[in-house]
Order: sequence, then C-alpha cells, then structure tokens
Amino acid sequence: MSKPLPLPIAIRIYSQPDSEEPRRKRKGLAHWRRPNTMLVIDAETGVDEAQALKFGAYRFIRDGRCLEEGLFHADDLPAADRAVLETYVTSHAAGTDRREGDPELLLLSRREFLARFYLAAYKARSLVVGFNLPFDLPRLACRIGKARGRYAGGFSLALWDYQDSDGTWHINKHRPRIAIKHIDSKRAIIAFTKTLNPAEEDQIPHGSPTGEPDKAHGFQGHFLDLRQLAFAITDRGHTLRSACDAFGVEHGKMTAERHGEITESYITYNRRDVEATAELAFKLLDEYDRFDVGLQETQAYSPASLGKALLRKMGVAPVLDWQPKFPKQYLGYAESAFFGGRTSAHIRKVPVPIVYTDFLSMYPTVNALMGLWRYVTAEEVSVVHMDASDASDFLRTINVETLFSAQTWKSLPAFVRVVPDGDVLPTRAKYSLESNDYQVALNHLHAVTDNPEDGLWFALPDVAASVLLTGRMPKIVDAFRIVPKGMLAGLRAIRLRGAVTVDPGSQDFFRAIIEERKRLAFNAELSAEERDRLDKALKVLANATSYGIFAEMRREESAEKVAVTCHGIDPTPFECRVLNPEKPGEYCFPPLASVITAAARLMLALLERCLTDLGGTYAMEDTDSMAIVATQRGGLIEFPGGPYRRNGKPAIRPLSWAQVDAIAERFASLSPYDRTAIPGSILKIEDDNFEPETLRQRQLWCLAISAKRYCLFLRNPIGEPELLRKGVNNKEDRYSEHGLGHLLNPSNPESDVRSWIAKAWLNIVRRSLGLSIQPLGFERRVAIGRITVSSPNVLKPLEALNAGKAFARQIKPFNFIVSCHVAKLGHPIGVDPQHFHLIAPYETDPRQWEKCLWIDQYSGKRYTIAASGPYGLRTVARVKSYGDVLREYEFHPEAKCADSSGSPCSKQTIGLLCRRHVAVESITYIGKESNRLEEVAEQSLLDASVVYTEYPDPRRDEWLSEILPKLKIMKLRDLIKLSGMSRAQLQRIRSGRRPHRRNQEGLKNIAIKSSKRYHE
Amino acid sequence: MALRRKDQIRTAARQAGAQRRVGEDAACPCGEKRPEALIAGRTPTVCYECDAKRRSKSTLEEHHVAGRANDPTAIDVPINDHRAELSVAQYEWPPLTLQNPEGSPLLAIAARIRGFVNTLLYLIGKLLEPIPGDLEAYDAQLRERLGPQWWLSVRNDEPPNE
Repeated sequence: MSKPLPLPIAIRIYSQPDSEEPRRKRKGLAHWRRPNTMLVIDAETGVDEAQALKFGAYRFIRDGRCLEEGLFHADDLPAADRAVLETYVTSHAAGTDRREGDPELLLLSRREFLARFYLAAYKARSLVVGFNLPFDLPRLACRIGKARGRYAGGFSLALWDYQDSDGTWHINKHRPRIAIKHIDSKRAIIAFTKTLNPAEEDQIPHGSPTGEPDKAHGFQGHFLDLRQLAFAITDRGHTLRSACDAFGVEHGKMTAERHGEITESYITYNRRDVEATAELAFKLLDEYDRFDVGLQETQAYSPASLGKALLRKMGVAPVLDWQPKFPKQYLGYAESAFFGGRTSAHIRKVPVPIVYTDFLSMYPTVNALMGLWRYVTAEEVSVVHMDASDASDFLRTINVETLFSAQTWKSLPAFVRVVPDGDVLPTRAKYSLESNDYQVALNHLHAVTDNPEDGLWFALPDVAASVLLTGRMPKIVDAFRIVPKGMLAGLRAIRLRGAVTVDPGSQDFFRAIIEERKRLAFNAELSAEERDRLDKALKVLANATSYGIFAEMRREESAEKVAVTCHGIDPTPFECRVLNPEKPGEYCFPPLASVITAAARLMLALLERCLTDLGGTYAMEDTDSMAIVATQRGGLIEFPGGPYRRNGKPAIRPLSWAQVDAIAERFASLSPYDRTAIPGSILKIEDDNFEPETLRQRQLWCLAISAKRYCLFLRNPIGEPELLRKGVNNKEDRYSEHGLGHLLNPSNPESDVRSWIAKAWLNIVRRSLGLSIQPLGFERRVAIGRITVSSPNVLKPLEALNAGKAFARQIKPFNFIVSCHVAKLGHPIGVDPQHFHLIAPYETDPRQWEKCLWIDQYSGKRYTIAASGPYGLRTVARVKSYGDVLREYEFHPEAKCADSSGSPCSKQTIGLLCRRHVAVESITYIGKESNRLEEVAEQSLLDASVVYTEYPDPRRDEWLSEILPKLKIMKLRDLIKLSGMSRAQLQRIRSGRRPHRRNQEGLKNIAIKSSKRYHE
Repeated sequence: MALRRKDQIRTAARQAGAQRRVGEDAACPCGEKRPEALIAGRTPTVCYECDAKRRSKSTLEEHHVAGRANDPTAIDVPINDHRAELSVAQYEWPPLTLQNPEGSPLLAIAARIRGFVNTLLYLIGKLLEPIPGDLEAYDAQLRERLGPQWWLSVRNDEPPNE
C-alpha cells in the first residue's frame, strides 16, 4: 500500500439563510388560462461584433389564426436596405387568415413595432413567442442595465423611449422594462418589471376572477421561449431546425444563402422562421398539454420543473414542507454524504476490446429497489438512531450473494459515520494541482486520527460498496436510519400524458413509469409516432422525478454577504456569512438524494466485484454504464501493469462474451419490475454491441483517457479503427465531446457540425494503436470558443469597446463573443493566470483572430494573441491552437486515480489505473459544485470560488484556529519583514480581517516556520 | 385605414383589458357575458341593462352615430349593445376621426360614414342576421310536419292534415 497523500477535501453543506422568507405557495394552474393570442417574433442581425438589429418579422395570432404579419427594421437602417424592405412588402402579401386577417404585410420601424409589441405583450397579455428570446429581445432594446431583486445577475432592458421637446430621447418609465436572467444555454427567466404609476387595469393579476387590482402586483408578461420548452419536454437541447424536425412542423426552417445582408430571399427566410416558430409553438404546446402536469408552460424551465409539477399534481407534498421540524442536523449529515455519479477511466490510453453495458434506468431502478416511493409519499419520515454495532452487524452480512437479494436493498436507506482507515469511499478532493478543482473519486480514504470526531458521514450503500470491494469492516462510530410512516392524505391518481394511469397511493411511481414505458412497445392501439412520443415523455418524467429534485439547491445571487446557518458533519450547526448563499429547492431532501446516488455507485461496485471475481477488469465507468474488457472467447492479452502474465509479460484477462452475459443475468434477481413488462436483467448489453442490421454481436473497442473522455470504436478486418457514428454504423455517436464541445468548428466557425471532433478522436485512437494518422488541417489555428454575453459581468470588460458608440452599434446582452485559451507560460508578463481570460467581439473569419485586439475579461486590458512561439510577451498572449488543445485533451490526466505503481496518474500514465490512498488534510464545507457548468466548460470562469460557495466553519477553519493565533504572537516587525506586507495591512489582518487566499497561504507558511523555530 | 379593417392587436388589448376589469368568466345572471357590457368592480357581476332595470332606469342609451364631436345625431339603442358593440366599434376608428378636436369637416364626414356603416352593420346584425337561420329552422319544421312541398298545402288555404 502506498502512503496516503494528505489532501484538502470538501464536503457539501446544508445551509439556510437566517433571514429566509417563507416559501411562496405555488398557485398551480387554478388561475392560469393560456392567452388566446400570441405574438411570434424573430430578429435578424448584422454579422459584425454588434450583432445589431437589421430587421425582423412578427406574426400576431389569435385562436390559431394569424391576423397580422409584419416586418420591422432598425430605426437607423440605411435607405438602400429600407428600400429593399419597402419593395418587398408591396410585392408580397401577408400570410394572414383570409377572413379575419389583415392582408397587407406591414413594415414598421423598431419604435413603431414596439408600440405594437407593448399592446400585444403587455396590454393584451399575449404569449410572446420566440426561439431563443434572450437573444432577440435585446435587439429591440434602446438601453440596458443590471437587473435587481429576483433577477439580480441578469440584464434589465429598456425598450420604450420618448422624445422631449428638445429632441432628446428619454427612457419611458411608465412602460415596463424586461428583465432577463440567464440560467444556462437553454434556459432563462424573462419578465416585465414594474412600471412607474401603473394603470389599475395592469395591476389586475392574471386570471383574477374579480378584476380587483392588487397594488403589489406587476404584470410579468407571458414569455414563451420555445428553446426552453423543447428542452423541458425532451430533455435535450434543440435548434429551431432540430425542434421543427422532431415535432413534425410542416413549414420548417429554410436555409439562408447568406446572413446579414437584406435581400428578398433573406426576408423570406426570416418570415419563414417566424412561421416555423409559430407552427412549432402549437406543436410544442399540444405536446406539453398531453403531459398534463398542471404547470404554466411559461414556467416549464426544465424536465425537473415538469417532475416537480407532476408530484404536486399527485398531491405529493415536499417532505420539508409538511415536516418543517425534521431535524436539520440529520439533513446536514445526509448532505455531507452527497456525491454525484461514479465516473472514471480505469484503463488509460490503451485500446481494449470491450462489451459495453449499462443499467436500465439506474436511478428509478435503485429507487424502486430501496422502496423510496414510500418515503416520498409517507405521512412522516423519521430519523431512527442506530447503534454502531447494529450497522456493523448489517455490514458484516454484505457480500455478493446478499447484494443480489433485493431484500438487502430495502435496508439501505441509512447513514453511518465512519472513521475511514483505507476504506474505499467517495471523496471530493483537489486531486490535481493543475486544475485545482474538486473531483469526486472512489478512493482509499484515511482519517487523520481514529477519533470519532474525525469520522465522516456516508450513505450506507457507499459503505456497503467499500465492504464489498475491500472485504474490510470500517470503523463505525454513529449511524441513523430514515423510516417512512403512514401515507400522505390527499394523494391523487394521475394519467401520464393521457395514456398511463398511476396511483401514487397504491403503486410505486418509479417502478410503474418504467414498466409502462416498456409496455408501450407492445401497445398496438397507439401509432408508432405516438408510442415514440409517449416513450420519450415517460423517460423524461422518470428521470425528472427520480433524483435531481431531491438534491436541488438554488444559488441566490447576492451583492453582499448573507448570514447563513450551516449543518455539516458535527451535531451542532455553525453560522457564517457568505456571498451567493444557497436555498434548498422545493423537493430538496438530502437523505433521499444521497442514498440514491450512493445506491447507483453500489450497483457499479457490485458489477465491478462480479467481474473482478472472474479475473476481469473494465476500461471505464460512467454513472450507470461500464465498458467491461471482454472478447468473444476471453483469455489473456498482454497489457502493461496487468496482474497476469502471458509470454512472460504482464497481461489482463478479458472476460468472454458468455461470461459477461452470465454476469448480466445475475442482475436479473435485482429487477424490481414486473417480468411480463420488463423481462430479464437490469444490466443491459447495450445495442452498440450488435450489428444494427443483423443484430449479431460485434467486438467493440474502447479508448479512455479520463472520466467522461472516452471513445468506442470497431476495428475492421485489417485492424483499422472505425468510430461508432450515428447513421453510419450505430444508433448513436460514441465519442465524447466533453472538454471540446465549447470550441467552434475549426473548418467552418459558423457551422454547428461537430464532425471535427470525430476526426480528432480518430487520430487519437489511431495513435494509440500505433497506426499512421492523417493531419487534421486545422492544428495550427487558434482554438476559439464561442461564448454568450450572459450577464453584466461578462459585458463589463467590453464597456470600453462600447464607449462612445450609439446603442445600436454596441455589444449587447446575449451577443456572441469569442474567447481563446492561454497556453502554458503563454500569459503576458505580470498578469495573474488565475484571473486572466481573453475575449473579443464576435468574428467568424479565422484570419482576423490573430489580428484583432483581445480584452482580458478581468482587467479590461487589451492584448494581441499568437498561436505559436514559446511564451507570452508584455502585450502578447501565446494562446492555444487546436493542435495544443487536442494534445492536452489526449494527455489529460485522470488525477483522481493512481497508476499501477500507486503514484498519482500523470499526463504520461497509460495502462491500468488503480485507487489512490488519500488522507484527510483539512475539511472545507462547500455548496453545490454544479453552478455555471457551461462557463467552467468553456473556461470563461477560471476562479473556482466563483463556481461554488465556501462556508467557513470557525471550528474547522485552519486560518482562525491555527494560523491567526500564531501570527498574533509574532512580532509585527518580523512579520513585515518576512511577508513584505505593510504594517497597516498586517494590523488589519491580526485584528480579524481575512486576507486574500494567496496572502493567506504565504502567512500560513510564515506562521508554521516561526512556530517550528519557537519550539526548537 | 380601410373602413372595415380592424387593428387586431389594439382590439385584443382592449378586449383583454375589459375582461380583466370584470374578472375571468364573469357573467350577469341574465346571461350577458360581453365584458364591455358588465360593470367592473361589482360583486355579484351585473350588466348595465340589469342594473338599469334594478334602478328603474331606462334600458336604452343614446348612441351618437358619428361621435359626439362630429355630429349630434343620436339614436336610442339597448344599453348593453351600446357599450359592447357600437361604442367599441368607434374605438376601432382612427382616434383623430373620433375626437376631431379641431372640427375638421372632412373628418366629420368620415366619421358620419363610419358611424353609418357601424350602425347599419349593427342593425343588420340585430334585425336581419337571425332571420335566415330562423327561416331555415321553420322550413325544416314544416317539411317534417307537412312534407317536402309543404307550401302547396299552405297555398290551398286548407288546414294541414293532422
């Protein structure tokens, strides 16, 4: 065993703001009636950096009939362009209803259109429909600002202005602004803000049965972004084209010959976009109505919104709503035991033959196995304290056989406090000095001492997995079980999408929904299309209700630090002040969330144990799937670091396909489903393993680099690799885009086609097989990512570019900008690499990228870039080329694992990886790590502290408990000399002000050295 | 603006506002549902006509056909129809024509024509529009009772055979 490496670890905290307002009761659909009118809009912009409005089109639709269609154009559109539009409207009729509609195609200026927009969107309260409204709406604005309150962190758009007698334009404060807060690339919250002296009529809440104005009410608008609704319904991101295809829109999107120049065909293209959007709106709303979840469509932000609405509809109240006195201390323990899915590479950078397996609906399956629906619908969930010996007794019974008994899983909803001593447990630690972020891994964990106070809480399935994998009993110092009692009153049966009835009182929802999904395949009464839709809908609902909503923590943007009460691994809570505190989501209940993901990890551990018992191994795992090293006949293959020997060389033992089938068959005993609906095992040999046409099993290969970076491929008779490609040799692409997805297509930056990633993967695979590679042709190009101006913080460094320009020419919210990534040693001299990120106005011509000026997002300073050369200069940043990025990608270390000798996995490590030994150096409490994931992926956020909130516990805060007392007893004169800091600065620090993290590190070293000297 | 073309967005805004003021699904016990004919802020909901009856007032109201600013000519119409149809129709006019603040004779003529057309359409709707449907219904009844050529028996001035 290698010596455990001390690492700082992070634990999730359950926190609540001290001044939390009581949760607002959801109104449901009682007062919601979908407006019978809708205004559909789409704007076309220039292709330059400002992406200013050129023109756009709209349709006003009532009861499904288009009554008015028009074009609008920028107020300052050049006369020549306006003439094209004028000619167009005189020669084309509107696509309106023949009987009631206005046959004339109107042409309005932006201001004239906004007068219509105000009437339709605010006074008539129509649905405002668009595809990607956050992009379109700022094109119509005349000024922008920062939003406040609920929309803090977002933009506030002023749309309406007026001219005074001097000819000066002013914002019309009697008209609302529009607030837009970006959540991620698919979702945003959009609303009208309150106006100055609103009319009484506008203060009447929507759907009011009395017409009584409410002074506190401000109409927020009915903004329906179809991109968001399509995501909520399908759980996948869509473009207008893909959504039109998926929902069978008759008049789908056309292709534009050229963007940015107003021509007759471009105007027709734009009108068609509006027509397609309108048709898509009806299709999506029709589909949405079939979900019948009782949620206003404008509030369907994601599948989770649908899942929560569905639970509300069934009368399932959130546990913490009806049990507000549930002991918070146990919520803290459970939250500290929360980790995401198990994912890592196990054989690195060596192609191996595999059978690709995955578990059937992993989270609903483990929920059903553990009987968690009883907890969701219980009248009371109580905490039952367990003796440590009882927990140990239970764990002693854990082995492969008992875990293949479904009965064992019923006992798993429990938590134990373990003083780890090399047990294999999930750990969130900073494994990589380079990335300096927290990663979750299943490693051998060691506590500092064996004191009970150094114990950590884990969900029982995680500890069972440790017992299964190590055969050792962990030291348990405390334990509790959660127990459901009774059943909620008022549970109601529902019909899912009008076709599948589920009674929450008598059925296990998780099980019923998966069973019904499978039964659909045999339902002859439904058309193939309807079956497909229903299947997807049930899949969305099953996933939406089975895990995420129980883990939901909502990050609140706050300008100042807020006092919060935190529940961690200790029995007593602590208080601290943090920026951006988190609030538990509506159905948040950490005990369920933690036990669900832990059970999924246990399932993978059981699979791991089954194959290691046969001498096998695996190439990688990802939450619910595993690539098992296997060939048709099994045997031995030479492999560096392998435990067996073949021809005197290390080897591994691939299982035979028959052995994998037999393992899969064992998992049949854990199927919680009705065998008539879902016969067989819950471990599936994936379709990828079979020829699409003949359905004969084929030999798959896997090349894994690190977690979520892997590729599955075939090898032809002469050994050449062929990636699994959708529509070519497989149903799905099986090469990961993780880590590359944010980059523009280097061959055609305006194209969304991602085939360049497949080409890059093919080269990686070929290199690993020792085959010749084809030059990609774009290796030397600057690697450019496209990011969106999604918040005022992103826009801030661009203000210098906007200064002095007319609003229309400025870079506006939700514009695209480009970003590049600085190479190692490529930072300009004197900048802080942790706070340096280059962005530039949107430019799709690769020749311009190295010529234009780039702006540091943090300092606002300007630099030029170069994609070659060894290092950066004073004003030149050496940035990464696509070749650099791909090389880094290929060598990305799996830092959370060790190589076969036990050393941390490095860039050069290949072959079998194993678990690291980690000692708890310090514990930091953090909030959820998944904030702003997209910005992290595109590397526009370099400072990890912006991504998650740290909650300093004074009792575990090394600075307060160890360093500061030492600094206080040192002579100030010495401190000044050693630290180089000013007297005033050090005095402030000694009187309690916490210094910057870098200074903290420096002072820590000084304090430790001085204390050693003192003791010597 | 063409005589019979509506500004559909303005109309929708006005109708939505009117509906909001009286409340969703509001209706007078007499069956009147047109939001413009209902009195805002009344609980229970009541229409102008029922309210007038309750207060023993006339259920007719003067309608200035071309708008007060353009011509004094007024006709008596049922109060609910005045509020929910004829006045509403005038809101669809160009505001300058309806208000005619400077007293333009051309706008006044335009208003008279618009008002005449609106009133005519209203009267057609009230007096003539139900008739074809009624005639067809009577024809169907007579056909059933007297046969497909029922008028032959009616022309003979003989009572129909029972």
